[in-house]
Amino acid sequence: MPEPAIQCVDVVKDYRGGLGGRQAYRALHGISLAVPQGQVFGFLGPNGAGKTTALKILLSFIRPTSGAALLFGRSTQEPATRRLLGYLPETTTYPEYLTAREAVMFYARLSGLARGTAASAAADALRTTGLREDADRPLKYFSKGMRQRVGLAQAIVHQPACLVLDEPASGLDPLGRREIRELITRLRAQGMTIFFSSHELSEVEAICDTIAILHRGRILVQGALTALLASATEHPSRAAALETLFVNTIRQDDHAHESVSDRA
Amino acid sequence: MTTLTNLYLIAHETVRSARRRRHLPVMLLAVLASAAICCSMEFFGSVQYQQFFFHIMMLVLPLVTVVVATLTTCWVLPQQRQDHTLHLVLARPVARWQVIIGTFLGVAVTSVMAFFVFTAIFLLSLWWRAVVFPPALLHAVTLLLVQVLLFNALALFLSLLTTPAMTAVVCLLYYFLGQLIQPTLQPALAGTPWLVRLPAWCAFFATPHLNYFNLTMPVVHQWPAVSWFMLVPTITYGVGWTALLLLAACGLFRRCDV
Repeated sequence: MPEPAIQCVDVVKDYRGGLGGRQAYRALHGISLAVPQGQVFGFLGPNGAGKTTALKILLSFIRPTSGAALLFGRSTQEPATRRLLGYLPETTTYPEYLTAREAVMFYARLSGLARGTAASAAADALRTTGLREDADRPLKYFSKGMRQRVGLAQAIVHQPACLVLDEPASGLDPLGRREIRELITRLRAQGMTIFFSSHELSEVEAICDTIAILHRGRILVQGALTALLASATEHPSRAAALETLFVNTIRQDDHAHESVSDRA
Repeated sequence: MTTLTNLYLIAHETVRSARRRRHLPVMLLAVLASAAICCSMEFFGSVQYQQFFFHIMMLVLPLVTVVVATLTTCWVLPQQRQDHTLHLVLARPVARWQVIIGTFLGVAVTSVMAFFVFTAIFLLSLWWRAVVFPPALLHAVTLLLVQVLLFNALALFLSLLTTPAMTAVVCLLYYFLGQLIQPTLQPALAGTPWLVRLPAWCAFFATPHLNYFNLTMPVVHQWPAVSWFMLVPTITYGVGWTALLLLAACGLFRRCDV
């Protein structure tokens, strides 16, 4: 069995505050997950569930209190491992004086591509994301949707084995969302593993193979989307079934949490 | 080779973004105004005029270049954190120390370029007014250049700990207080009770002494220049502190959450 593309092993994260760091807030309570290679993984959760913290640990922006995040079995704390990774943040403000080509070239070269290779890879990535015509315009003239496409171009420019997308369709119009969805489908067809964090259940339903639902720093549900939705056959559509699954899972956890709090 | 490429790319982007900061033209105007005022003065005798000119130059040039070094540096990493471009860099095969050193190289190049422009403006004014160049002028400029690098490193280190505004305030306060550390604390190091001596020793060794980089008196009074060999310890002292601050910044950034 091939190694999972992404693996989180019992990851705990405490944020310390107050005088001398005596007040601690546990953002992640030992989450474990495995994303098989070549799949699109949907990472769901309400606001404040810990999705961003988990993503930051996966990308090595923050260190876990305990546990480990692995990419193809190697720690993401190692810079060389991150060559396998492409990342699109939810929002990014690129330097406005750069053109789209310069921005993508910069990240291509930081990913280890030589100047000549980076130029052709940037041109390919910009063509893939539909920015070929606007490649040499400064980014200050770009709309939000176009900037999001620049973000996608920089994420895929070095042909990573794994792509981490944080709310990729955020702020996009329906056409933009459709284009991003089609692009993700194309990338999956090329064998790329995609880790997809989103609130948009319809997007997740349309493109994800497996999902995990995170709430209060714990993974409540994890598995193949089809199997998880199989129980909700009374719903007319898969999107409605996923919404019901999501809402019920969160509410059950909230009730359980309230009961524990009342007993305490 | 990859390391050098990463350092070059980060430094290059830092220079491109730093040179768009608004404080650079403001400081250029301040230097031009100071030089213009010096050039327009006519009411002193020759020696007094030269002393006045060099006093103004040795007052304005270090202050303006330290302000440029501080303001150029203190925004870089906080700004990159805020607009998430730092995340895009750190998601690549780039080590965190490369981000610190690359950023330092970028801000150092910007500050040094500004330093040369400002110095050139004063030197051109001197030449235009036919003022005799003091023998210690080159030494003084060299030491001010080392001081600029020191403030780049100090501001970079502080920008990891606090806000850009606080970094700027601390650096500028330190510019004034740092001149006084050695003259104030040196007498306290001998002949005082150990309770006074211990904190004095700690403060003495834990802070760079900026008065070492100040050659105002030799320049103003046209004293003969000391040999370059005598200057080497001071340059080493400044470069050593710069390296120490960069090392501390690398250690801090390696552990910190972004």
